[in-house]
Formats: sequence, C-alpha cells, structure tokens
Amino acid sequence: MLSIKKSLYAVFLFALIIPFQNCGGPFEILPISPNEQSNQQASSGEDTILKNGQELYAKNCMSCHSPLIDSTKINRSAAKISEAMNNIAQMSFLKGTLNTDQIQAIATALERRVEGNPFACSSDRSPSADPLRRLSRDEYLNTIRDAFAGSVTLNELQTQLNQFPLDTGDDGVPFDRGVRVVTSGIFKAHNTIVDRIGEYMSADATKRGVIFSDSCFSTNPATDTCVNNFINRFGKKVLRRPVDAAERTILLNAYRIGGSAAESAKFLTRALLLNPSFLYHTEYKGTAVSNSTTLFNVSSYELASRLSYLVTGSFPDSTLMAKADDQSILRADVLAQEATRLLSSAKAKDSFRRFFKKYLVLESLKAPAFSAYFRDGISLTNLNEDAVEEMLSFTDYIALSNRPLSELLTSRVSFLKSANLAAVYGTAVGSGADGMTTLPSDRNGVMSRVGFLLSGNDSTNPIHRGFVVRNSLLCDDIPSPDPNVLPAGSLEHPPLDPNLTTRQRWTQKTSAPVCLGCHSQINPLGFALESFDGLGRSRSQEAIYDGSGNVIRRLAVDTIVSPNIASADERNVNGSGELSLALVNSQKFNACFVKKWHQFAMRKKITTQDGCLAAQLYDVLKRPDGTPLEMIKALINHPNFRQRKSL
Amino acid sequence: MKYNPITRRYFLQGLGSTIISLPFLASLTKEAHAQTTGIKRFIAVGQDNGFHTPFWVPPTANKSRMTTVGTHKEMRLTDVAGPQTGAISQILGPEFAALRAKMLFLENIDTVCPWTRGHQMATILGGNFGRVWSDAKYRGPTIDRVLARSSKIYPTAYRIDGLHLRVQQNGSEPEIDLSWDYRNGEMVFPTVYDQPQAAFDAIFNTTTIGNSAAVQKELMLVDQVNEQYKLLRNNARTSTADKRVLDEHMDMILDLQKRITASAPTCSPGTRPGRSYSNSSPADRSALIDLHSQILVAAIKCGTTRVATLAICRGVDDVNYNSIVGINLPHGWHEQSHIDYTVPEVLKIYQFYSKKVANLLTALDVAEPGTSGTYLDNSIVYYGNGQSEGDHRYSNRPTLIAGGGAGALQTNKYIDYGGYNNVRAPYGPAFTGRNHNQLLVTLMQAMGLSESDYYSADMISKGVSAGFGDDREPNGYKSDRRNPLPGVLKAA
Repeated sequence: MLSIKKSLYAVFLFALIIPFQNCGGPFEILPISPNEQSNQQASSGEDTILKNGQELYAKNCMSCHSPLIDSTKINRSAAKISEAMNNIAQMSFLKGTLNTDQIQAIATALERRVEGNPFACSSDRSPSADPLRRLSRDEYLNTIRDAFAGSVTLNELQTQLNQFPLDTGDDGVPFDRGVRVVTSGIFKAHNTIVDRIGEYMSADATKRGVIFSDSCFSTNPATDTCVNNFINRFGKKVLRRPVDAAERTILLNAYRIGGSAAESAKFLTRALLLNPSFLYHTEYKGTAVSNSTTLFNVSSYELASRLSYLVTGSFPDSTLMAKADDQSILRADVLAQEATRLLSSAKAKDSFRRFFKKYLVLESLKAPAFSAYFRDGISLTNLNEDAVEEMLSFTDYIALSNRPLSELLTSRVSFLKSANLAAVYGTAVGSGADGMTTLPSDRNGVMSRVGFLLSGNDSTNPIHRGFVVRNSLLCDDIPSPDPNVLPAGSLEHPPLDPNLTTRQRWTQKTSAPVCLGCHSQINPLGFALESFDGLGRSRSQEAIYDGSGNVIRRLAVDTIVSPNIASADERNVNGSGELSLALVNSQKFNACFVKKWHQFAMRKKITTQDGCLAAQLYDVLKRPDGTPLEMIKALINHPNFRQRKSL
Repeated sequence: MKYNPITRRYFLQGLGSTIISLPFLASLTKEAHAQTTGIKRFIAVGQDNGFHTPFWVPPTANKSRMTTVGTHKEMRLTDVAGPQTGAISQILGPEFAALRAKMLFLENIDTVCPWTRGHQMATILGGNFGRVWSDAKYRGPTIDRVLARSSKIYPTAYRIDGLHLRVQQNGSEPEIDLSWDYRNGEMVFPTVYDQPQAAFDAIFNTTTIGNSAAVQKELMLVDQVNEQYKLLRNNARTSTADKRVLDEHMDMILDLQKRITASAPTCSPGTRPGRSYSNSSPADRSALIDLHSQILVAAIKCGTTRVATLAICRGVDDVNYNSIVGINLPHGWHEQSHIDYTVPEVLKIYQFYSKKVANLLTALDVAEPGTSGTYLDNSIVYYGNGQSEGDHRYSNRPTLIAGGGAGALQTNKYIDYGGYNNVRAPYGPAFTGRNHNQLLVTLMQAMGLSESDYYSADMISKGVSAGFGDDREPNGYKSDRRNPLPGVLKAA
C-alpha cells in the first residue's frame, strides 16, 4: 500500500511539474500557437488520477466542503476519508459508492504542499468559463464620462445617477466587476440616465455639436452616409469595437425616428447607450481554438477592452484602440507595453483602490459613536474618511510604487495628512505634500492602521477584526452562525464586566463547543490586535469605565495567541507585528491575494481549472522581486487573459 | 421568463394604427374601471422597530368576552372595550373607531424563528426566509410580487403591476426592505420609490411622454433596442447561460413597452410634490409618509395599480422623534428600543405611525363608483411590522387587516390564535399561536390565488412543504402551514 501511495504521489508531483514547464515565465508572453492550443485541450495520462480525484470530489464532496480550490479538508488522507465515511452520519451515503481507488484519488486531489506553491495545473490549461458580465456601476459611469467628455458631465446627471443602485457582485464574486444581473432598479437607472443624455443632445445645440461634430449634420435631414459615418466613429467608441452592418441598420432606424436633427440625435444616442454591447462586456467576436465550440481567443478589440476596463475602469483610449485596429495588441510585446503604459496612468489608481477597498473591507466602517470620555479630546470629524484615505494612500504606495506584497503587512510607511488621525497614532502629520511619514514601531502594515481597527464605539470588536483577517486576508470561508443551533442570545455581544478584559469576555462567550469550530479560527487573529483600542490607539492596558466615564480599573491586555493560520499547532505570536509576519510567511496569505486578484481581474471565482494561472501568479509574488504590480502584469500576459470560454 | 418570439414589430403591426388611440381605450379609463365589480387590490403597509405587545393588543379584559370557535377565540372588533372610546388598544386609538367594522385584528401569529435575527422587514410579506438574505434558507418572492405577476390579478397588461413606496431603507441590508422578487434563480428587487416626486412622475407620467405621437416614437425606439438584443441573443456564440441574462433584460424591455402602451390615467392624481424629502430629517418624516400615502391612494383610485407596498419607516430607524411627537428622549428610536421600548415616550412614536395608517385607511374608505362599496371595501390592506417587540422578537407579530377584499374576508373580528401551540423552542421565546405563513396563504387566497399559483417548483425542489419561507420548526410544533388561517376567509 505504501509503495502504491508513493507511486501515486510521484504521479501527482509529476502532474504538477509538467504543466508548470509550459506555464511560461511571469512576464513572458507566449503566443498561442496551434500546438499549444491543442495541448490545452489534451489530456495526459499522468494526471488521470488527479483529474479523477477532482471530478469525484466535485461530485461527492464539494457541496459540503466547498470547491476543491477552497476545500476545508485539504491534506486528508484516504484512511481519514474512509474513517469519516464510516463514522460520520452525513457521509454514510458514500459507503459502497466509492471504492478504494476512488477514495485515494480524492485524497490525491486534496493534497497540498504545505510549503511552496499551493496551486496546481491540470492538463487542460484553458480558462474556466466566463459568464456574460455587465458594466458595473463605476464602469458604466466612467464610460459615460469618457464618451461624452466635453459635452455632458456626470455632475449634470447627478439627479439621475443618484438612482443607480450600488453594485455588490454576483456569483460569489465580491467585487463589483463580477456583476451580471440587471435588476429592475438598474434597468430603470440605465433608462433614466440615457433619457437625460438624450434630452441634452436634443435640447442643447452646443452639447450636441461636441458629439455630433461631423459637418454633414448641418444638412437637414442628414444623409444616410453622414449618419453611418457617425455611427462608425462614435459607435465604435461606445461599443468598444467596430459596429457591424446589421447593428448600423438598426441604429440608422433609431436616428430616423426623430423629426429633426435635434430629435434624431436624441434617439440615436439613446439607442446606442441601451445597446447590449454597451451595457455588457460582450466577447463573441474571437476565433475558435482548435475548432472548439466553447473556447475562443478573444478579438483584438475584446482584448483591448479587457485590459482597459481592468486597469482604467473605462473603454480603451485612442492609443490602445489603434493597437486593436491593427491587431498589434495581440502581440506579446505590444500587450505588455500597453499594460505598462496604462498601469502608470492616473486612472489605474482608481482601479487599484476599488480592489483594496473591498479587500480590506473599507466600504462599511461604522459611524463613530465614541463617548467623549473615551475619545479624550480626539475629534471624530472626518475620522472615518481620513482613516480610509490613509489606508488607500498606503495601498497606492504598495501597488503603484511596485513594493512587495509583504510590505502591505509590515511597512510603517504612511501618508498622514489628517491631524485627527495623527493624534490617534500618537504622532505628527507628514511634512511633505503627500504626508509621507513613518509611523511608530507598533504600526506594521494594514492590520495596525486605524481604518482597519475602528470599531465605532468604546469597545474593540476582536471578533470582527479576526473575521476580516480570516475571511478577507486568508480567504477562509467562515459561515454565518446559525441561531437555530445556538442558545438564545448567542449573537449578542458579551456584557461589560469590570473584572474582565474584552478578550476574556469574548473567550467566555465563545467557549461552548458549538462555537469553537469557527471561533478557534477567528478569535486568535482578533485577540492579537487587542493592543489597539476601538479608536485604533495603542494601549497596553484596557481601561474599564463606569457609567459616568470614570476609569474604575485598568486591566493588562494579552495579545499572545496561537494564530491557527493553517493549523492549530503553530507557534505563538505576540501582537500585531508578529501576527503580520506570520501571515506574510504563510502560504495562505499569498495564495489568498492571488485568489482575490483573480476574482477582481477575471470577473469570476477561481476554480481548479484556473490552477495553472494561479500557480504562476503565486510564483511571481514569491519571487525575491515579486510584487503585486508584477503579478498583475503576469496575469495580463498570461494566455488565459486572452481567451474566453463560454458556459 | 420565457423569450417571447413575437417581435416588437409584429406587436406594433397587430396594434396597427390603434396605437394612437390606445391612451383613450375605454377599458383603461377611470370610468370604465369603476364599472367593473369585484376587482381586488392588495396593499401592504410595513413598519419596523416593533411595538410593545401590551400597547398593541386590546386590553386583556376583553379576553373573557371572546368565544371559542374551533381552535381559536374571537369576538367582534366593534365590541372590544379599548382604553378610550372607539379605540382598540393604546396604539390603535379612536381614529380607528369608524374603521373597526372593516378590520380584522389577529393576535398570536408567530414567525417561528430565533429572536436574534435583528431587523427583517421582508418577513412581513416573505415569511421566515432565514437569517439574512445573503444566507437565506429560502429565496423567493414576497407575496406582493407573486400577486403582481399573477394573471389572476392582471388578466391584461397593466401600467404598474406593483407600486412600491418607502421611507428610505438602508441599502446595505436588503432584509429590511419590504418587497423582494425572484427571477431566474436570483433575488432581484423591484423598483422602489423613496421620493414622492419620483413616484408621482413615474405613476402619473407627467415628465415623460406628452402625447400620442411621442408615445409612438418611444415605442419605435424600444423596438430598435429590442432588435439590438435579439441580434446579440441570436449570435451563435451566445451561450444558453448568457441568453438567460439577455432574456431577463429583454423581459424588462417588454415590461417597458407595456408601460408605454398602457394609458396614462385620466383621473386627477393631485398636486405633484414640489421638492425632495429627507428620510433622516425629523422635519420631513411626517410629510414624507403623508405624500407617499396620498400617491398610493391616488394610484388606487386612478386604477393605476392593484398591488402596492408602503414602508412607512425604515428598519433600524434611529431618527430622534422628540420634535415629531413632542417627547424628550436622548436617543433615536432604534437605540431607545434597545434600552426600553415600553416607556410612554415610545408609545407616542407607535401612535404617530398608527395614526398615519388610520389616515390611509380613511382616505381609501370613500365610495368607489360603480360598486356598492368603498375603495377600502374592495381592497385588502395588511399592516405588519418587521418584528413584534423592540428587542427583535418574532412571536405574536402585530397583524392588522383592513378592507374586505371585495367580499373575500370576514371583517369586524378580533381573533386570538393563542393556545394552538405551546412550544418553547430550543431558541427564542415560546410559540403559542399560528404560523405566520398561514397568514400569507390566507391573503393570497383572499386575492383569488390558489396553491398552484404560489407554490412554485422551486419551493418543491427545496423541500419547502408549502407557502413561503424556511419551514424548519421546533419539535412538537403543529404547523398546518399549508392552510389558510381559520375564521378569516369568507369561504372558509
């Protein structure tokens, strides 16, 4: 049995190594040759066991234990799986269904190297399926802004924009780039905004003249040639690709609805802005890979659009569009050049900020409700806003100054321009225009920044802090507590007790066996940050107040924890600094960053099918010179970025 | 949604030149509408933050005067001895005196779920759906949306199938929104109007299409937009999954066509609200509710819709009510509820809202031309709360029904369903009454729907035994959740 296992493991490792050889270097564009295309579809004998295991896992295990790439049961041996099938009632249905080889195959699929790259290539290295996505709210507004630059501003549409619901993502993608569904509210918002723009085109000759700038529109009625030329020019900008003949006919019909040049401009504008290829990221113009009916190399325009919306949040600029026109964007060197150009543009900063806002859970800070005695003179005016801005200036620095990912959790660099915030940090604002400074020695990376620590009231909330670290920085799915299986009041915060620290109160509160399954993963990560109070100030003692705001006791805070990042037997860490280092050195933190960026960039959740791309991104991050920026470039240059698989 | 192969062009050809005269079709005018009989409307008024039950229910002395009928007790609502003449309870004051004969007061309707779930206004019309919407055990439409999409409510296209008005909710917490919809396996939310001005414009069409020629042009534009979708949908590369997304979008375009072709009302909708109103401003709160109510009443009278919801306060409402109702509390309502929701100052907040509901009912209780009753008599108005008590409790939910549903309901009743169950669940307080799901079933059946109309295949696939919401129940609990409440339906 042992020798069989060894052989299987050798096969597994071989399966990992072989595809890595073909994944290409991180910044090397691999032309998609016919051979490579056929390889993407080919199935090698070596990873049959792995593939079988993946399929068996998906069929029998995934519904309870999450998709394989996020499985809660990694590194379970075949013996352990068999034991669980025999002893756990919910798994008893598998007895007699799976034979020994099949159980071993599942165990093989669940194997992860504790060190090194956690992602694995399979023989089919094509991307996972790409569902149709619509323009997110931000992308929509950016596109409108850029298409009507010099004519209609977003400020002039503010009343209509206020009706546009915020996006939260679909299909388990937490980023707005993953939106798919058009609700009635969004449908109405689209129509309302477009109606208003149409009215501007109709009623304001100056605004109309900026868009309908062709001199032939001075003739009334304009000729078909004149209108078609406009559709070709402006339509290409709005639809991010040339307008085809059938579409042009429809748009010309829309123009002819109007009884005057002004009214016609209104109807044509509205028809263009309600076109599904404007509202959605449609990618149906590529070329089939090896006669596949589901896998396509995206067209030059689709590639330009992918790149542009990822980096700038809007449609391709004229430089990029020219490279789509001559198809040079499909060349590795040109794509890399354009990626570098756009990543250094001002708009790239907005895109990074969209990612980091969600990644660091900065979108829903609680309104500050600190008591005056607790604040002790610190003003709350704009504190939340300043704290978020400081965090995002810091992530700008990490991302755009090409800093290593580790610095996100370890650097004390800050861009501190707010006196209120400086008071919380116990330091002074930075002297330069950007406020750049170095924070005190206990402020290592984002977990020790005020924007991360603010609780909204006088108590810390270590459970929230721990949950954010566990869920967002380590990508562990922690299910919502089910009150049906908990005693009444379980979800209430523990009452204040003058003899207990916050950590002690929460430890008591979550000590029941039914709670520990999750809280053993959450609590340590939050408790390690207890050296910062609810405002984010450093502390070594926790002050206990009476109802009048008098300090009645000071209790020493305890920040020593076993972090349980990947397993329960990790060595203890003390405080945020050591916790940050433990995270930086963990496989999970780096792998999680890869998963999050994949979600953000590719607009879909990462699956086993995307393992090869993920493995390459992970390798880039872990290189001595690896940075998030280099990782993003590697993603853009990966063959999967140039392909689309339909569902 | 199913893709409609009938093209817009075909649709227009069918309509032919009658399109211009559509706005004047007799069947869509107020007069013609008034001549029809038996038309029912459903109106839900939702509130949150709970009540204090002893303030809500009639004085306990009335219990001894109730008669046992089967598994429940009841008495005439007009015979209830309230704390003041004509009042039903401390919250439902004398302003309800003239309405009592047209009302049903139901006690001990329970949502069988833990009390730790916070604010869930959606349970009023959606049942016990789970903890939060993102973790819902059951996802489905609220009953107003089931009614809005039923051909039994709207045999032909209607201008607005559901009118949804609200005092603005927290956008980040959909579970405290009143109305949910469910399409193609996804939760979606209907268009909800926070601002009376926007609602007025949408309903009474004062800012969009001015004349029949303009209507025709709008239809032609919609036609071209639809053609663009069809072009993409028919692309060989468009996958089945992508087609579903496009179909959903095209469905909305078809809805838009219906709204354009449906007639603008010929009745008088009143004065267009002149400005925006702030939900968070105490100075605006009263006017905001009044304007929403006026628009709702006008929409009913104009025959613009047959289904409407009105959320009269937001979940987790933390507005300070001192200047609104003349009290002096240091906290907003929500925070005060967590400190003490039984004090007389909070009672005044409860009364502020119940008076608004009384005003709405009174405005509807005027003769409806062509029928023998009033608009209220031909409607079912359900006044519910996101929770029962201010500490997030869901047992004994406040339930008031007004209007006869065009003869569908037995009115003038105070019914107590307590004693049907006596289960102390492993979580939360005891449940002694009937399952709230039965109330939802009752309301839908009163509106003319049968089980096949609201018991979807999706529910069956999820093992939901009947009706709405998560159907997990504590051991020993008598559910009967598939049946309507006893003593309410006339046919029952």
